[in-house]
Order: sequence, then C-alpha cells, then structure tokens
Amino acid sequence: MNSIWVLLWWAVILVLGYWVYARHVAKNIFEVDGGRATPAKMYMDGVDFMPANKNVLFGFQLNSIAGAAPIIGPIVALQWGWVPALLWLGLGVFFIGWLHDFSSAMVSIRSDGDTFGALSYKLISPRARKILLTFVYFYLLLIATAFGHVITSGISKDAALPFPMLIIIGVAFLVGHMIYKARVNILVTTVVAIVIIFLSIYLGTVWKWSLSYTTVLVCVLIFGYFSSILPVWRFIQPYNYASVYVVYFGIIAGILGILIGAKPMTLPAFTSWSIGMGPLWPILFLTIACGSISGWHSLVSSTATSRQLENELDVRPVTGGAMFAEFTISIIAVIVCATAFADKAAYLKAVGNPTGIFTAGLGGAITTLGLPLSYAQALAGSMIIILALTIVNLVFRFMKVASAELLGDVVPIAKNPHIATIFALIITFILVKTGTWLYVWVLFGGANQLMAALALLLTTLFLAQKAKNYKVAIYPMYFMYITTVCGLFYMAFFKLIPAAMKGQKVFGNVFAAAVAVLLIICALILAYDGVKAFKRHRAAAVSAPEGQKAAA
Amino acid sequence: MLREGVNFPGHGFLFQFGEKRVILGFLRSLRDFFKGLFLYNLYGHFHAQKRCLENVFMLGLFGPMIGVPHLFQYYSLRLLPYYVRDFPAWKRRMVKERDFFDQVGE
Repeated sequence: MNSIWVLLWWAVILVLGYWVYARHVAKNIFEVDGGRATPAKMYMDGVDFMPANKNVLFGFQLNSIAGAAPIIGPIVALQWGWVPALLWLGLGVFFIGWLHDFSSAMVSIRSDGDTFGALSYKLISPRARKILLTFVYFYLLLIATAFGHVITSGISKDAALPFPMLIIIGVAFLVGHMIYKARVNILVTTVVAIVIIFLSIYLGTVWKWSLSYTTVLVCVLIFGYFSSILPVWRFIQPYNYASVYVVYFGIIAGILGILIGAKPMTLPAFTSWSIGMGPLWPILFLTIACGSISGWHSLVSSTATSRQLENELDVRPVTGGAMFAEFTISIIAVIVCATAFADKAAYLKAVGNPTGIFTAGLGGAITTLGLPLSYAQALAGSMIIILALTIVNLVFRFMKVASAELLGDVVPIAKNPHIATIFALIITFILVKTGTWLYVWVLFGGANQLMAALALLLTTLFLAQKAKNYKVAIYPMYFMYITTVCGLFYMAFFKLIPAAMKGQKVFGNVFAAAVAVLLIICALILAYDGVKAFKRHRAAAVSAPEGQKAAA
Repeated sequence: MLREGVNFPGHGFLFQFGEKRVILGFLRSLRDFFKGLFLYNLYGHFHAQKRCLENVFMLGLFGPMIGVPHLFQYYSLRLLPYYVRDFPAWKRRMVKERDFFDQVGE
C-alpha cells in the first residue's frame, strides 16, 4: 500500500478529532468561556503569569512536548505491524491524547494556575503529592535510561554523528556566551549557530569517528552532569535553542520527502497478536509512549502553558492542536520506517537501534529533495540524537531537584546538587549497561502513560467536584490505568524476572523489575486515594447549592 | 506587496473578496507560530533571569518590609553616626569625573 494513503487516516483523525469532538467537549463539558479571566491575566507578573498570543503558545507547546518518543515508540511498535500502530496512534489521540493535554491545562487554569503537585494535594490527598514525586523520580530514571541508550547506540553505531554532536555542544556554550554575556544580536547569533551546526553535520560525514558504546555512554553522562550543575543559561537553554532549527528542518524536509517520494509500505500491515516483546494488549499501548498520549504533556500543560494562556478559547488550539501536531510527527515516523526496509527481517535486525532505523528511513525520504544520501542520513541521525539529548539534559536536572525534595529532610546530603546528580548518573549508567533496552523502553512507556492516567484522574476529580459530566475523562482514565498497570505487571513478572532467572542481564533486569513494581505500588496507592476523593467530591457536589455547582 | 494600504497592479482584480486580509492574517499567525517554536523559550528565560535580579534587588531594599529580616539596614543604621560626617566628601568623590590627568597624578 502506498504511504500516501496513511495521510488520509491522519487527515480524518485530525478533522474529526480536533474540529468536531474536541470542539464539542470544550464547549459542552468544560464550558470554555472567552470572557473569563485566566491566571495569566489575573496575576500578570511578567514572568510566570504572562498572557501570550495563542499562535506563539502553540509553537512553544509543540516545542516543549515533541521529543524523540513520538518517533522511537512507533518505530519499535512496527513489530506488531503498521496497522495496529496507526490505529492506536489515531484512536488514542482522538479519544484520549488531546483531551489529556487540554484538560490538564483547563484544570490548572480553573485552579489559579496550580501545578500537578498542588492539584494532587488538593484534589486527591495530602500524601498524593509525595507519592507522585516518588513516581516522577523513577519515571525520570526510566526516561534517562531509555533515551540514554538511544543516544549511545545511535552515536556509537554511526561514525558520522560524534563530530557534529561535539560541535553542537560547543556551539551551545558559544551561543550562551554570545546571547547572555556578549549581548550579541539574536539574529546574528542564530545565523552563526545554524551555519556552524549544518556545516559540522556535513564534516561529520567526512571526518568519521568510531567510538565504543561505553565511551559514548560515559560522555553522555558527563554531558548530563554539566547540564544539571551549570546554570540554565550557560548550557541547556542555548543548546535547546541552537539545535531546534536542525530538528524542525529535518521534520519539514521529511514531510516534503514523503509527499514527493510516495513510497510503498514494505513492512507487513499486521504480524501477530503476540510477539517477542509481549502481547499486543497491553504492550503496544505502552510502546507508543507519545504521539497518541503522553503523561509528560500534563506536566508542561499544567505549569508553563496554563499560566500563559490569555483566553480559555485558546486552550483547545494550543494544547489540543500541539497534541495533534505531535500525532503528525508520529505518523511521519511510521511512514518513513515502514517504507525504509526491504522486508520485516531487515527491520527486525535493526530494531535494537531505533536511531539507525530512523536515520535510514528519514534520510531516504530527504534524498528525494536532492540532498546526498550521506548528508541526509547524518541530518536525520543528528535530529533524533538532539531530540533525545534535549530530554536527557532536563531529566538529570529534574532528578536532582526531585531527590532534594523527596529525601532532603531525611538525608541532608541529597540536597547537595553534585551528590544528587552523580547518584542519578550512576544508577542510569548501571541500568543502561546492564538492562535490556526494549524492556526498559516499555517500562518508560508504562510510566509515561500511567502519569497520563493520573492526570486524567485529576481531571475526573475536578469535573466531579464541579458536578460536570466526568464520563469523558473517567473512561479514558480507566483504560489507561488498567492498561499501564497490567503492562508494567506483565513486563516485571513475565519478562524481566524470568529473563533474570535465566541468567540474562541479571542485575539490570531485576533492578528494572523493582522499578516497575514500585511504580505499580505508587499507582495503586494513588488509585485508592483517588477513589476516596472521588466519592468525597461527588457527595459534596450533590449536596452543594445550585449556584455553587454552576461556578466551575 | 501584501502590506495593509499598499496596492500593486492587478490588486483590484485579484483581491476583491477580502483575501488580502485573510492572507495577511495567516502570515501573521505563521510568524507567531515560528516565534513560539524557536524563540519563546529564549524570551521566557530572559524574563526569568530579569526576575531573579529584581528579586535580589527588592529583597535587599525592602526585605524587612515584607517580613524577610536581614541585617544590612540594621548595620547601616548602626554605622551611620560614624560615617555621616564623611558623606559630603564621599559624594563628591563618587560624582567627580575622572580624566587622564587625574590618573597621571596617581
């Protein structure tokens, strides 16, 4: 089947999802009101609470949520065939994904810009915040491990990537210095950065460096250390700024390449209900961690975005629109990879290195624009490494903060930023070296989707509290919760522990299984508190006077 | 060519149904989208840096007024009697312009 037909599926989901279903829910369930003041307009402190134009926020939201996961997840999920992957992507984003992002922002807006932690404290229970923080810490560990391997395997297996990656790191320091210290004009800085980066990608294809897996992993972790310790303006922020141009150039080039190339899908539409990684349900739903639904988005929507929306009518285009845009990126990933291989056997040989798969696929698509294959592949590889590195930068920083908050009172040394960062780096190193990446990826997906289920729980509780129709949130929440808990349970007890008992990567698999069990325990506690909170809110809503019910 | 109020040959024929406004609106939205995609994060960070500096400045000046006691103002008041006689000379030193010849003398 020609890949262009996949775009028809994309268009149907987009039109019906965004312009029909999303509009109906926003208008009739959440009752978005353009005349109501948002926290951005109420507080307007010029930094956190600052009203911004919806088109600017749409770009900002897309930049914040789109990472490597909407690309890697579908690549790995093609093992079940591209039909299941496309179905979950489309139906997931239609019924759950956009609603999750939208409702996270709406609940925060209607609660004076409260964050996820504060909302869980108020809506669920006082201990929910601590449980959620524990959950988040191990979720971040899984992100660091999953993406750490993606970066390491990508760079170590493609000799054209080490040079540009090193140059981009240097450019990040240069850009930070130029913008914040030397006060150079932003346009000049941007042009200099873009020219150096694109030139370095070309030079990488000429000056190839082969590095071992362990060497690259150590370099990535050193990079992570500096990302965590240095001030944001010195490294992370200029790195994100300078490298984003490569990413979106790659996406736009890929889209054009797909439209022009129109290659047939060579991988099978459907392989089996159960494969080596596990059964289609629940594992497929965890493997595609972004693109259909992602808990990470609720953290972004309920903090940065909700405090900058100037009008409730902007919430759907900004949050829902960005989610559908991320769905688009996943569709591109499915197309480029399903058209990149001669057959399933070739794909399966490469599935342990998703960077290589994406490089081959997107690189091939970009060559239809006239760029040489080696440069196109280096560009595609750089793009996905940059996306993964951007996340890893932030993750170690967040882990440092989370460990200080969780353990700082009991273990004072956890407040030391160097100790907290080094601890996070060490456990990441151990899990990357000794764990099985495909299983860790599924665990990451499970943690991510479980975070989404918790965000939907908050939405359900909020709607119940306001005596509104909460069914639109509760059924997706049930589905995500049951799927993710079952998925984590399956991975821990049917994959990780049996693999460890057979002597395969014993330490890593047992460690990963322990993390999975811990996440399940956190989820069960939150569910228990959630059920009690739900009954409490329902009872209060039923007994509240009519005037109070309407004031949501 | 599509700026407001600017006409070009064929303008009356080509844009007689208000398309210019639609196209301009779309281009403005696209400009804002790319601003948000590439630059908004950077500007947000500038504002955060500015906020940090303002926080420190206001804390130093008005901290005790909002319940954050610090000792700078206490010590300033304690030391004031010993320094008040030097204020005119100090003020003259601070505002005096220094040129090459002042440095030669040093």
